[in-house]
Amino acid sequence: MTPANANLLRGTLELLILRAVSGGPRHGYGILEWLERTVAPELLVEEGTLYPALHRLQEDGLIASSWGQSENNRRAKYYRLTRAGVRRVARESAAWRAYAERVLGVLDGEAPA
Amino acid sequence: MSGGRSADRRASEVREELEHHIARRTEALIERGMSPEAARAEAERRLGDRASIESDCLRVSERRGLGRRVRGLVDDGARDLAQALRSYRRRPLFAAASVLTMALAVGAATAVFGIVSGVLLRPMPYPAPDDVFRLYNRWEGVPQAALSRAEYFDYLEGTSSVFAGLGVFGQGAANLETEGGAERVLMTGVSAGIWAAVGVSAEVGRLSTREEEIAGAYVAVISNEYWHRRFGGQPEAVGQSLRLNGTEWVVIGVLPAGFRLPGEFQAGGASDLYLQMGLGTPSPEDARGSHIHAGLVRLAPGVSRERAEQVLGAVAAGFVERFPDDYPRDMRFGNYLVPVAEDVVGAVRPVLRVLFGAVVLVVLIACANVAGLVLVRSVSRRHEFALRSALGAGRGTLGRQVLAESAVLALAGGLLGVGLAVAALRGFVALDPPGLPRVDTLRVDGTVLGFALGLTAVAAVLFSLAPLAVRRAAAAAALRESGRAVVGGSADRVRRLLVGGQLALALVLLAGAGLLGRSFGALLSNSTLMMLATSSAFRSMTQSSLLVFVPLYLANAMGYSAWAVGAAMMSLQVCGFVAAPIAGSLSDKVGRRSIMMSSLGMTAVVLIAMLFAGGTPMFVVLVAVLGFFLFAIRAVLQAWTLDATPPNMGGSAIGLLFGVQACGSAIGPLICGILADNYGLLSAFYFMAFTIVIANFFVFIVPDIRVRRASA
Repeated sequence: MTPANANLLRGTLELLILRAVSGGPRHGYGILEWLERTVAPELLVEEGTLYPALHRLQEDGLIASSWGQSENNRRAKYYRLTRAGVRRVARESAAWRAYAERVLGVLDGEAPA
Repeated sequence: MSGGRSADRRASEVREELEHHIARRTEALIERGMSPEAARAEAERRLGDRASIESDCLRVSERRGLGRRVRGLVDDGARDLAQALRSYRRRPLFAAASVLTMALAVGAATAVFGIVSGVLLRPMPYPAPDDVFRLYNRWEGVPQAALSRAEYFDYLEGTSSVFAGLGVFGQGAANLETEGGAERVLMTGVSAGIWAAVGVSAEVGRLSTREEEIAGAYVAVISNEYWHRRFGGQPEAVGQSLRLNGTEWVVIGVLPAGFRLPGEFQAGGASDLYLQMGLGTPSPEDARGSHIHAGLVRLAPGVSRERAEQVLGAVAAGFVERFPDDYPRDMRFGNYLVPVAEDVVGAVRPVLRVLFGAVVLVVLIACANVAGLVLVRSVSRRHEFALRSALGAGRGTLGRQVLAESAVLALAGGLLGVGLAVAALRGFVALDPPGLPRVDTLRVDGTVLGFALGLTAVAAVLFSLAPLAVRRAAAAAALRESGRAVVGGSADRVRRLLVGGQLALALVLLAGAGLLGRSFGALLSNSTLMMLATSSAFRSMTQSSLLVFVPLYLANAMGYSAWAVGAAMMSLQVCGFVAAPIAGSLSDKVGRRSIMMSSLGMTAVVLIAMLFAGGTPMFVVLVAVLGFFLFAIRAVLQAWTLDATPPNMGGSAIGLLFGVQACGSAIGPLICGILADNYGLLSAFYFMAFTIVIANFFVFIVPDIRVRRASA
């Protein structure tokens, strides 16, 4: 991963993770699959770096975890959004949308003289 | 939710979670057509360094809760250490170089401290040793003199109020007649008061008395060591008689092990026998001018040294007045006390202090070197740290890991160093340097171990400071800025600091070396020697600059990993290993000057070739070739120096050579560093080519010497 990508990632990875579990509980690998499918393949060069982020989000009370059976009958740790997490997703999404619209407005508008 | 769970449980859950991830990824890869083995390996690779992920996860969940925090600290420590060990297993060369450097430094410092502690700091082996003093006379032109028999009696009578004991002694050797023939023994004649002065009592039997001294009884007290050697430690030794130089002496007692009088603290200087001198009673015929008895006193309880010296002065004034013929007025006769520790070790104290100061500087230089190594490595790891910092590992976590890694280095170095120190001290004791007292009883004891431990801890902190400073900046900046400029910039600053610091330390070290040498003045007038030393200083300037700037160039300009840099530097030294013996023996046959000049010339040629090969693999090959010529010179240089040195001055000459060399070594990297900062790295190599040409010039003008042959 180039430092520029990593920097982009730092601001957004947590939001993306929260989004990944907003549709229902997922385990770590499931979150990664979702990220790769919807954001970018090979997003994380070291996939393991996902886990400290998950643990931190849990510690911040934005997600909660429990152990359950996975699709192919393995024990796996599932993460789900807490209420605080739901609020955070809503707030951060709005902020991102506002930011993105402003940047797009600049990029699509008149070139500066 | 995780409040009461044990650390083990949490750790195993994280492991299970990561294991699940790997299993799923492996399956996905197999579905894409990979073999199970390859898939598993690829899944592991994609996951990354599992150990650091685990510890980052665990730390995140331990951030809260005071109780957990305290318990967590212990777990953290263990995890940090384990992780540090793993990280070194992946970089064994780096670890070996750092540990060896530390071991040598800690070993040297601990050995020297062992000497300082054993010789200077250890109390004298007497009860209340601060109360024991040597008693000296002095007069105009004679700063320190022993007592005469008549004076002994005067002092004995006149000072009983201030001294708990006053005795005299004199050392010598005698022939002891045995059944098998004769044995040479060391003996000391003592007055009976000596026992109270040192405060010793007999281990077996008894000590001699003033009555025996008056009566002139032939009684002897033997040392514990002699008791074991000759009598097998049997109590029946008491009462046996010894025939010494034709006289029978009766053994009346045995002293405790390790007993020494002042003057017996040289290795092998301990007496076997302490013979009671038959000093008798005062008589008017006693010669006052024969000052042969060494005086020793112990202050009575509660009496100060000043008070005792007043009384002694009064006694002396008394006999000076009574015997004006023996003590003319212009003789200015007097007396004084010297603490017994000062008497025994006072002369070597300044030398040992300078030596200790020097070795502390060596430790600091070693720390700076290891810090430099850690720094080079940390530049190559900046991404790992930046990423982990972005994904949950806090500053404290990374800092702690750096500290743990440094601690592991320092600890390994410290342990090895203690081993070296033990060996060095044994060697030192066996060497038994003349003039140094108390050497035979030196050993690595608790105090010395404590010193080594403290030193190791200080070293760990010292050389984790530099990379920490860099990582602070790196963690914050590396992700934002894409270039290495930010990290490189702060690493360069620290590196410059290290080089500058080393320069300062080396100069101080040099000054210390100057203090140690006194006969250097004579050598300075030897122009051959000075030319060689100057030439050698310029050569060393090149050498030490190369040792700094070749690795820098390889790492920074050519992007070599720390390991590859180490390998290239090894090739430099390995070639020296081959070249030195060849050049040395060739110079014996064809002459020093021609070998020196061709080697120095070739060094310059290779350096210039390196300028053109910069950035290509050829550069590394040339580094090795450079080692061949650069190190070939050293042997020849020293041989030449010895040729030009008068007999018995070899050590001083080589010392001078190395001292001047050190000047060059110290200044070289600094100058190169300034050049490199301002004009780019390669400019340093121009400077080195320049200095080697200067070195050659000095060899060219060295006057011819008549080669001195050792007379057969």
